[in-house]
Amino acid sequence: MKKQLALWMSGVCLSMGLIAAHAADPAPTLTYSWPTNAGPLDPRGYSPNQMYAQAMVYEPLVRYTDKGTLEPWLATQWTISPDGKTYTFTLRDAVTFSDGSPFNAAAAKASLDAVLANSKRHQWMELVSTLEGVEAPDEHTLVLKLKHPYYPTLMELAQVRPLRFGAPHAKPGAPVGTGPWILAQTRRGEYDRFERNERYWGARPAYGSVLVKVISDPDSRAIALQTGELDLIQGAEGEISPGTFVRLRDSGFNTAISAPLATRSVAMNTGLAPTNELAVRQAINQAVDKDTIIAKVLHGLEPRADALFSNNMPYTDLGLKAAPYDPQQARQTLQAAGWKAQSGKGILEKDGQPLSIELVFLGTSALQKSLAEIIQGELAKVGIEVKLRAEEDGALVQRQREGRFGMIFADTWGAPYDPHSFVSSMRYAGHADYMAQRGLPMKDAIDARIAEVLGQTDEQQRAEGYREILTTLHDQAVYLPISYLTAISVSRNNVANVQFGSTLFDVPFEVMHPATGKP
Amino acid sequence: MLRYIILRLVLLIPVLLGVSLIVFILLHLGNGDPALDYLRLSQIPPTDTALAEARQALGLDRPLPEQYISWLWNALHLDFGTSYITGRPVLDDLLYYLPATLQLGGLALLTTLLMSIPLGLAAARWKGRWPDQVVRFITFIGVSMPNFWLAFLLIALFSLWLGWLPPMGRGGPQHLLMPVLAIALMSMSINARLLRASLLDVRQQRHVFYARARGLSERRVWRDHILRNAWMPLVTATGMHIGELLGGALVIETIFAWPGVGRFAVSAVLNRDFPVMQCFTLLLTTLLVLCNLVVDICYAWLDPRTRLSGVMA
Repeated sequence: MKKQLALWMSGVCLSMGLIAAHAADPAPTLTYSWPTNAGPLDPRGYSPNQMYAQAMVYEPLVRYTDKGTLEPWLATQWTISPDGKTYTFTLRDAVTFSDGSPFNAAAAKASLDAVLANSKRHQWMELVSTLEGVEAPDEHTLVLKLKHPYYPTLMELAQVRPLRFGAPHAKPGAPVGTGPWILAQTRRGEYDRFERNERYWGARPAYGSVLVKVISDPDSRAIALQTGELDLIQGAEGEISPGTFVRLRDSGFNTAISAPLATRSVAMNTGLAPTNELAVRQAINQAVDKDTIIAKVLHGLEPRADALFSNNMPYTDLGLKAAPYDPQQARQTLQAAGWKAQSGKGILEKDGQPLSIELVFLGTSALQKSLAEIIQGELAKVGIEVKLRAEEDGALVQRQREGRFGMIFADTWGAPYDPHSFVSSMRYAGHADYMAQRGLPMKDAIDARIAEVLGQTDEQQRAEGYREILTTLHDQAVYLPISYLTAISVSRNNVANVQFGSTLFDVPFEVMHPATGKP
Repeated sequence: MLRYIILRLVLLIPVLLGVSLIVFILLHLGNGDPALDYLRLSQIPPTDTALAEARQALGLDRPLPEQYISWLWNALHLDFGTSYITGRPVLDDLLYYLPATLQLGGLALLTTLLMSIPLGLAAARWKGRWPDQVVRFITFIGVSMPNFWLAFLLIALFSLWLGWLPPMGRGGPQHLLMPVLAIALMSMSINARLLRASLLDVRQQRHVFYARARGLSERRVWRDHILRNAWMPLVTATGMHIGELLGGALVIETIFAWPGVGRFAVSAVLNRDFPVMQCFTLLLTTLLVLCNLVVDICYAWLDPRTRLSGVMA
């Protein structure tokens, strides 16, 4: 009797389990987290509007891919005039905003005109100050007129803001876009709920909604994933620490690391002794063991950086090689440049001056502190003294801008700003990179070449220009590239097809779907 | 008594003025630049033009005295400015998040009182025996352990291992248990030890001896002659603990993703959201001053001696 009962019970349990697995929820919810609420989601708004959320609701004309190329999105095709000043886009047919109003050339023009009407606010983006006007000759044609040729136009159109498209009649605080998601509900300090846009022109997302909980503490976020409060952790801004990532990976969660998105690097000041000497900069590049740094501090989560930009960015696949780790060679390089060891001292000297460099890092970043300490230790082995200087972020940027550093942590801006926006900024005084490069004998030539490249309409010539600029900076050893920043992702096994966005700022929820056959 | 209360409330005005000025000066003495934080959060590269534009938009390009005076003038009209980060009126944001914090802090205060009194009593009543040892052990742990560490240990035990309690968020009573305990344990431990010491001290006094000599029951001796006199340090300490409990809420809210004013203030500090920090300090100052006032009134009510000397003078 007992046996029969047990058999019967287990049969019931089994069939209930099967029913549960098969009667899939038609609109399942994916839970994610973010440190703050999504914000009012103005398509042209900055903080407190969160970019991941703007990218869910608003779409660009062309989309940036993880290979550094562009693909058609709201525009199906485009032509560029021979003088590089007119861009003509054919808009995708049958696209509507989530409120049902049509996305056409008039609506697109209205959105871009709103950016131009407030251009002072957006002038950090070079395209905005280059854009002369927008025309909508017919329903499906949009024409952008530029003041002068600017090749990264398409790149900047792909960015999350401010050049994406909101419905012309949307009220503030009630965002209406063409994207796969609609912001349905916000509870301040608790969560934002996004629902599937049933009018979406593209592939229908498998999830009915995305619930984004407000969690600011990285450890709390990891716990929330472990206890099932979250399905997914993904991001490139320290969502969880590398150590926590490894722990979750080892305890059986699905994890992934994205392709390189930006570069973690140290800039050296060519305008200040002793880093104004090429030999010193080269020796530093030879003396730091990046592989050990990556293994010990970054838990092996980031690939080693050999050059300022990883080769999956546009125009950067140049085959540049880093000087191999060789402390012996570094010491010889220094010796050949006249840096000699004085008896009884570990620090090399030349003309009575010690080989001493100030390394500025962000004091609130435990990671930068560890990196700085390792670099200090490595350089001490070859006779270079490194003085560590912790600064708050405001003061750090101040030092970058004023060139008050020997070495300073200066990450690149990442896709899709790399390389064009980052290289463009190298020309302006008040930038860490300008300050770092200003001592180079060929600095003026580099700046002229950058200006030329940005306006270059010929693809071949442009690539050649980038080769020259990046190779020069590489040969001059202005930077100590350490590793390529990556995004991480940790998910529970109820989520399938977890993928990364192609920039630091987007999460492609629309391609993820509930795993079948698993609880 | 009423005159005294009004006087104390009037005194609140110079206190708030002083605090606002000190906080303003301290904020601007720092090295950071809120415009840079704004650009960082907006993912805008900090070019010179972008920086100038952000400074102007946030009103940071004006001279400091002018900034303070205009802030003060607006504050007098209960307009505490707009948050640099959320873009909403600061007071509106803070009042939105305040109830959740008061709920947490209030329950923590209640827990502190409800648990420390029996523990203190038990420890004093059976001094040196096992109840005293147990209480000593609990309070030793409570005083030594930082609240955030306790919070993580509680989460590890009740959420990760046992799966009994949710690790975060606001909802039913099950969401309250761990944060309240994490905030309250230290104050509770201090209170229990204080009460024990105070009870033991009063127990030695002569009036207790005479009460016993008069043949009063042990129950009455404790209730009317020991306890009533031993309350006083506890009242003072509780007044101080209110500040501690609110301070504790700052960290604990972040850990438990509790949508309160503490977590909001922590993110404001990290992002140099000056208007929020200014208003938050004033709000806390007002709360603390009011709580101290209540404590003083309780004190006067409980102890006629202070009523005669301190209050009426």
